[in-house]
This record gives sequence, C-alpha cells and structure tokens, in this order.
Amino acid sequence: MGLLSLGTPMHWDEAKKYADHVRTHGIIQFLNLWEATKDSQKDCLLWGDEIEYMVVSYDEENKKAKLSLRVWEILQELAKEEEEAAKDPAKKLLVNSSWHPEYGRYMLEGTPGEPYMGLPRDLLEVERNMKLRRELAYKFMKPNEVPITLTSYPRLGCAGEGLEPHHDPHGPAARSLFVPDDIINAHARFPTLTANIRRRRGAKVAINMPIFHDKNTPKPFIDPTIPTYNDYPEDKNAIEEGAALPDHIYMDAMAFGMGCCCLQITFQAVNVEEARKIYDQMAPLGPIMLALTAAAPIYRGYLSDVDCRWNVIAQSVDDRTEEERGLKPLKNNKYRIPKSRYDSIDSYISNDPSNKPEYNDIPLVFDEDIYKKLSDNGIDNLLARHISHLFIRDPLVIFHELLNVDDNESTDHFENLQSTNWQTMRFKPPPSKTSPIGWRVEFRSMEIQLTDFENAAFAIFIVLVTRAVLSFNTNFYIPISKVDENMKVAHHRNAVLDEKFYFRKQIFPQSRPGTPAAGTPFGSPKLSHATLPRSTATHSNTHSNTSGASLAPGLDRSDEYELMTINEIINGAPSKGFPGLLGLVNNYLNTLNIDIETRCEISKYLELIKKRANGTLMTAASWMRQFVQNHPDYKQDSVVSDKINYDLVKMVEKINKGEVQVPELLGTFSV
Amino acid sequence: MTAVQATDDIHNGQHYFTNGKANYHGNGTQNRDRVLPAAFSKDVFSHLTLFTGNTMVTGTTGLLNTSLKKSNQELVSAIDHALSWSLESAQIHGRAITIADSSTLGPLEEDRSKYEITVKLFFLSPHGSSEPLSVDHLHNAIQHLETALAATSTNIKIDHFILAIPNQTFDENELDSSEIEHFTEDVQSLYLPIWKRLSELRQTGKIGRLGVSEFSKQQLEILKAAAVQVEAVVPEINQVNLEDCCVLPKGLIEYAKAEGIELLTHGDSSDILPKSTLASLLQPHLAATSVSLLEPNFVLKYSVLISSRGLISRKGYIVDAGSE
Repeated sequence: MGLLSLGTPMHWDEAKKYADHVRTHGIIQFLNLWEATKDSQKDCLLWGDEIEYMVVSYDEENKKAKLSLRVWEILQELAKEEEEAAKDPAKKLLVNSSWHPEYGRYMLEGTPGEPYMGLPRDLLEVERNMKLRRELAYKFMKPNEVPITLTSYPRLGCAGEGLEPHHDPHGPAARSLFVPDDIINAHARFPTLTANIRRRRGAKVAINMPIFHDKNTPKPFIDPTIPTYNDYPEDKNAIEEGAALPDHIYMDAMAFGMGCCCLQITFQAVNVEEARKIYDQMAPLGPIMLALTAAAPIYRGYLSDVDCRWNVIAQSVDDRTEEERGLKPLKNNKYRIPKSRYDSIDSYISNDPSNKPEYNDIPLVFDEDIYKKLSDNGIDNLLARHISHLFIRDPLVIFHELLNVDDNESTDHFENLQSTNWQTMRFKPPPSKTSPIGWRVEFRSMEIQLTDFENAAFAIFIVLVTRAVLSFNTNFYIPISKVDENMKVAHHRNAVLDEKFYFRKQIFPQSRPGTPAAGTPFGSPKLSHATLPRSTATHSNTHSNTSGASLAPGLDRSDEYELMTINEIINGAPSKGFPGLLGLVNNYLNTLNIDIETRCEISKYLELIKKRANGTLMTAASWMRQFVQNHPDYKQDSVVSDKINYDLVKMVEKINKGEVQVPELLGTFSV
Repeated sequence: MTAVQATDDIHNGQHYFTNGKANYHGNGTQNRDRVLPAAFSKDVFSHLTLFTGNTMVTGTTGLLNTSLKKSNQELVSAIDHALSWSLESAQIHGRAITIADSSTLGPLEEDRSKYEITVKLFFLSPHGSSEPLSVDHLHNAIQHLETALAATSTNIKIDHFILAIPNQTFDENELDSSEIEHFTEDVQSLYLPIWKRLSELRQTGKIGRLGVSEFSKQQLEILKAAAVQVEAVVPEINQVNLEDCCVLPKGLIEYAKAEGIELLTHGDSSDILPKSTLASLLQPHLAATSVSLLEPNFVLKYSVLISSRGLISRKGYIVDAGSE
C-alpha cells in the first residue's frame, strides 16, 4: 500500500491547510528525482508479484469462518524470519520472501524476497515462491487459522460473530454501520486515511453493488439487515439520506474495498521511455484481465450481480465532495473530478509515435500551476499532464513530523500523492536518487486467484505479454474512453464469456506505409503511419502532435478497433488475422532457447489462461456463484449464510491443498 | 532503383553489399507501386539467395497461429513478404539473384555482448541423397549471416549453432540393429565432414555451443562416438519439437543430463522448405525456367536475443537455392 511512515497524523481539518504545501514540495521532490534519474539505464528485466492473503479463523464448534484480527502478531513473526534470513545465507533460501501489512487487520501481503529475472527458467521460480510464501504464512498461524486468497470476503460486514476476536461495529474512524474500526490496520496511517476520506467527502463513502436477483430475492430488494444508529451525523446517510440504493448491496466503509485482495505485478523497465511504453501498452489490458480473473461475486453476505472488486474499491475510497462529483455547483472546490482516486488511468503517457493525440480522448483534469512548473523544468507534455493530474488530489494523511523534509533527499510528499492515486496502472519513478532500482510499472487490475498455481499462471502470462509487446513492438492503443467503457463492462456477471470489449484490430506496426502486415486486413490508408525503427522510436523525447495540454481534435480512429470477445482477444481470431495475446506469447516463446522442462511448465500456465478465456474452465467468480447456488442451505434468495461461507472457505482451503478436485475450475491441472 | 539499374550496377562491377552493409538506402521503398519488374520474367537464374526481413517487426512471426505444433508457416510468410517487397531492389550477378528485405539488415544497435545469437542451419539435400552435407554450403551460410548482421568473418560469434540434418524427425522408439547400422553409416559418410568443420568453429570460439535437432538418445550416442573418434566436439544441445517435448522418453532426459546436453524446444517443421513450396512461392515472380532450376540447398534461421531483458531483437531467415 505504498509508503508507511511513522508519526502523528493530522486530522483533516488541519491536513487540508497543508495540502498545497505537500503538493508544492511533492513536485519539487519529483523534479529533483527526475533530474537525477531521467537518464537511468538498467540492462535487465526485474519483476515481482504481490499476493494478498486473508487470515481466516475457524470456529469449528459453530461452523463459522471468521476473519482473524491478529495478523499483526503473525507479521512480527514473519519479520523476525526475514531478519534472520538476511543474516544467515542458509536460511535465506527458506524464507526468500518479504511481508507487509495491508489495510485490513486480517490481511497479509507477501512478495518474493528478491525480484525475478527475465530468463524463461526464472518463471519456474514464481509458483514455487508463492507456495513457499503460503507455507511460511501457515507456519505462524494457530491450528484453526488459514491464509486464503479470496478477493472479497463473502461475509465481511455481516451482523453476528464474523471477526476473531469479536468487536461491535461503529467506531469513530469509519463510523460504519457494519464494520468496527478494529478491522482496520492499527498503524496510525490507516484509521486516519479512513477518517480523512470521510471528512473530506463530507459523508461516509457509499458503495452500492447491484444485487443478483435470484428466484426468491424480493423485488425490489430493500436490505432488511442495515442497522440504525444514532451516534454520528453520518448515521443518517444510509437510509434517511438515501445512500443505500434499492436493489443494491450497500456498504459504507473503506474496509469493504481496501479490505479486498488482489494480484499485482511490477516490472522494472530499462529506462523511463520503456516504462512509459509498457504503461501505455498494458493499460488497455487492464479491463480484459480484470474480467478474466474475476473472483469477487459476493459482498456483505449477498450474491451480487458483479464479478469483480474494482468498482467496490473505487467507491470505498472516493473522497470527492459533492461539488467535485458534480452534484453541486463548484464553490469551495477547484475542479469537477469525473473519477475516484481509485480508478482506471486517465491518460496515455508514452512518447512513442504510435501514441496519437486522439487516443487521450477523455478530458483530463489537471493542476495548471503544477503543469506549468513541470513544463518550465523540462518535463514533456504527456508526463506533465500525468503528474499534474495525479496532483489534483489532496494529500489525505500528513504526519506532523514529516511536514518539512529535505526536498533533495526525501520523496515523501511526492509519494504521498502518488501512492494514493490507485489506478489500473502505476508509473513509478526510482524510489530515490541513489537507489539501484530503476523506473517501474505496476499492473494492478487483476483479482487474486484461489490457488498459487493460478496466481503464478496470471503473473507469468502478464510478464510474457510485456516481453512480447517489446519484442514485436505491438500497438494496443485504443481511445482511452473505450478502455473506460471496457472497465465498466468487465464487472458484469460472467463478462468473461458474455460480453465484448473494444480492442485494436491491427496490433503490429505497419512497416510499409499503406500496406498491411502479412495476411491482415488493415485500416484506412490515411491512418497508417510508418513506424520508426525501434531504436529511434523509444529514444524520442518529443511528442510531435500535442501542444499544450488541450485535447487535439485529430482523426477519427474508430476503424482501428472493434468489439471482441475475451476468447478472441486472448486466443485469437484466425479468420480476422488476429493472433490473440496467447498467440503473441507463444510466437515469442517459440523463438527463445527454452529448455524442455521450462517450456512444459509454462505451457500448463498458458493452457489455464486459454481455457479460462474460451470458457472451458470457470472463473473463480462463476465457480463461487455455482458453489453458493448448489449449497443445500441456499434458499434462492441471494443470501450467503454463515454456513455457506464456512463451507466455501473450507472448500477453497481443500482446493489449495490438493485434497479435492474441481475440474470445472482447474481442469486436470494440479495445484 | 529498378531491376534494370540493378543489373547495370552488376555490370559496373559493383557488388550488392559494400563494407558488409546493405547499400540500398533511399531506393524508393516508400510509396512505390507493387509492379513486378518485367525484366525478371525473361531472366534465367540458377542461383537464389533470399534474406527475409526481421520477422519480429514485419508482423510475420507475431501473426502466426501457433500452438504446440510444428510449422513452416513463418518461413513461408517471410519468403512471400520478401518477394513481394524486395524484388525490385534485387541484385543480379550473372545468373545469380540476391533478394533482400532492406528494412532489417545491418549491424546490431547495441554492444555485441548484450546479445545472444542463435543459428539453426537446415540442410535440404534431396531425399535419399548420398552426398555428404556440403561444407561449402556451411561457409556460404555463415557468410550470409555475416551480411545480415553486418559482421565480419573475424568478429562473428554464434552463441548457439544447431545443425538440422535433412529429414530428421524425433522418434521415441528404440532403433533396431539395422537402423543403428544405417544411422552409423550416415553419420560417417554424410554428417561427419560438416561436423568436423563445425567442431573447428566451436574450438576457435566462433560457435559458442554446438548442437543438433530431433536426435534420439541412440542417435546422440552414435554421433558422440563418431565425433570422439575424430577428436571433434560432442553435441552440447539437442532440440526437440514442441509436440514431443513434454512426453520425452526418460532415457533421453537422463542421458542428456548425464552428458551435459541441453534439451531445448523448437517449433520448426521437419521439412522446412520442400522444393514444391519454394517453387510455388517463386512462380508468380520469376520465369518458369528459373523456378524449376532453383532447388533449395539450405535455410539458415537466426535469432538475436537480449536475454537479460527477455527480448527478441531480430529474427530472420536466409534461403539459398540453386541448381548446382
């Protein structure tokens, strides 16, 4: 979750006075960092994954699966292991992981101890390391505790005994009707973040996910389980003020979103231009991979009509005021802001000539003073737009002790805003001027899968796609408004099979003007542009066609893309001459010198991706829906009871241990 | 540059490649019409050298509909692409024609140490030929590679070299005694001369690791025995096709491990360029006499990787055909 500084955090009333201070110094820090690292050149690929776990505590007597709130103790044990491993080379291999707290007090985040390298053989390390991490986590669990990789916890926020130990809801930070503040990581940063989002917004966050209407679900569905309180002004939000929508599952706290788990992949690029290229090329894949990894169909004890977590998190940290959301005329606020801080990216940032101005087709809100400051200091248009867009947000957590820092050394204020812009992609500068780490890109849309085998498969697939992208010099650009439309569609129930997504038709550079690459249909000649050889393309430092920060009117590019199924996007459409992402990856792999063992292992992972995309195998979301709907306790009323939840979690645990076969989810793959 | 001019150049004694670098910059590849040069319909050629473009950036490789199967689709598309786009700039020297995709030949962009070069040389001698694999073809092939990479014979370094002998397909069944005898004879008479030459290149460092393709355990043993006898190097790599690579006999895997032979995967068709395939590719472009004269001698496939970044920088083929 980014930076975890220690100190005394400010209440929003005080923090807002320092917002400009943090932004001003954040930009100075970025410029200092830029000056020192803009020419940084690395010569190898390094990458890593992040796995987030929920720790479940079984109450076997009452057949309940509760969230365990003692993760802090587990993390302390894991930290000790890490320390010992750092001193003892023999232990290093046994630990080889790094552990971090997350938003939820029941959550763990584990990353590999050292980044993976770019060789095919290193890919075999991924699943092994994920398994090692899970074993290590197990080691510090009580006998009735288990680390599971569920994206959203089905009964988070339900009345009754869902937490271990029990706490009543309705604490002062979140003021939630459903969850206590004790569910939030105790580090001062997290309750403050929670409270300051509420304070800035002027109300509690309001998350509404459509209910899945089953045979016996009342219509309209008015949730009878929403409790009433009379302690805080926000207690009126839900019912009296109408925040809880009919036919929706209503949630009112950051924990419902930031308490979700996901699978994130970070790559180190060789230089800043390559990082910007990967950022842009991977951005259109965000919604595709979200739908393909869908694993979050249940919220607060109800089956929903969405399969993914993304919008839940977006709404759970939406700190925009009514003015910013366009519900009231602007008076106290500076901008109308179309999206939450947690959302899909708003602009492409690469200077590659294939990035046409028309692709940045959504109006970008950005801070003009900051844009000017960046421009005046030599930052090109696209990057200046990106940074000054991130900086329209207010810093939410400011520590007294860190208010005044040396802008030459610290990046705290920059990171304060950078790390609370949670978008589908993240463009990350080196951590400091002197760090050996280079420019990085994070791919953030994927949902966590139930098993390490699946998580390894998706992690490996994504890293292979980046390699194919760079090797083939692909072009996945579509107007960014279409990526946003895809993002919405990706949430729909069973979107992976039932929906279509905008995708670019011609994904190879056209090496000769007005001509197709071999065997493909091609766009209208007026749109084709010769592509510069890679060496010049990636080192180009100017973006020829954009001036200032306004939207260029430009060409109509609607014949460059079309609606495709995920099966077509992943597995290809031979009749259209479209190879699919897996086609690209296989063609890439066929050119490498790969030993047979590595290739056979990689083939299994790719086979999983193929079968998820063509519907042979279910997504975790579909499988969980099926599990609930087939459960003897299920009454066709959308309700996921304690008992169903318990059995589901037990089942997920057994799948992980290989004790039960679920061919509809995993085929014959062994986990 | 038209074909006629190209011919004139040859008459003036100008060689196609000068200083090891393709010399056809500014030859009007932009916006030209795809009119087939009429001059070629009359010319008779008895030798053809064809350099495909970088199949990574022409879309040729990316567009393949690959799964785990052997295919020569990539080569066929690459030849077709080169014939469609580079015929006008062909260089003619007597009855020899050289066709080269201008866009992607030339020196590597960065320092040589960053790259890993892999070469696979497919010999295409007619079936049942009793001629040994030609050492001359090997020399020509390496010279062509030097041209493609703008390297010289003194600085060329091939990190992996795979020799693909004609009609060799992986067979998991044990050879019987007559098959053993037959293969041993073939190694002695057909393959040993070229293997000795490759071995010299390996020993002088021009080749990093030397290997074969589609060999079974027994075949590897036979080649090893023959090589040891003439003090040549033993195979260090054996490529196995994707269809068989996940179900290899244990014996081969164990043998390879014990002998330090890397078992690598490939997706190449066992008959990568049949005469009929080349003929049908050439037929729209060259005179019928030429087409019938041009029998494929060898195909050299090369790839240039930047391993530390997991990137493929270049991939291409060089086709050599003739009637000699």
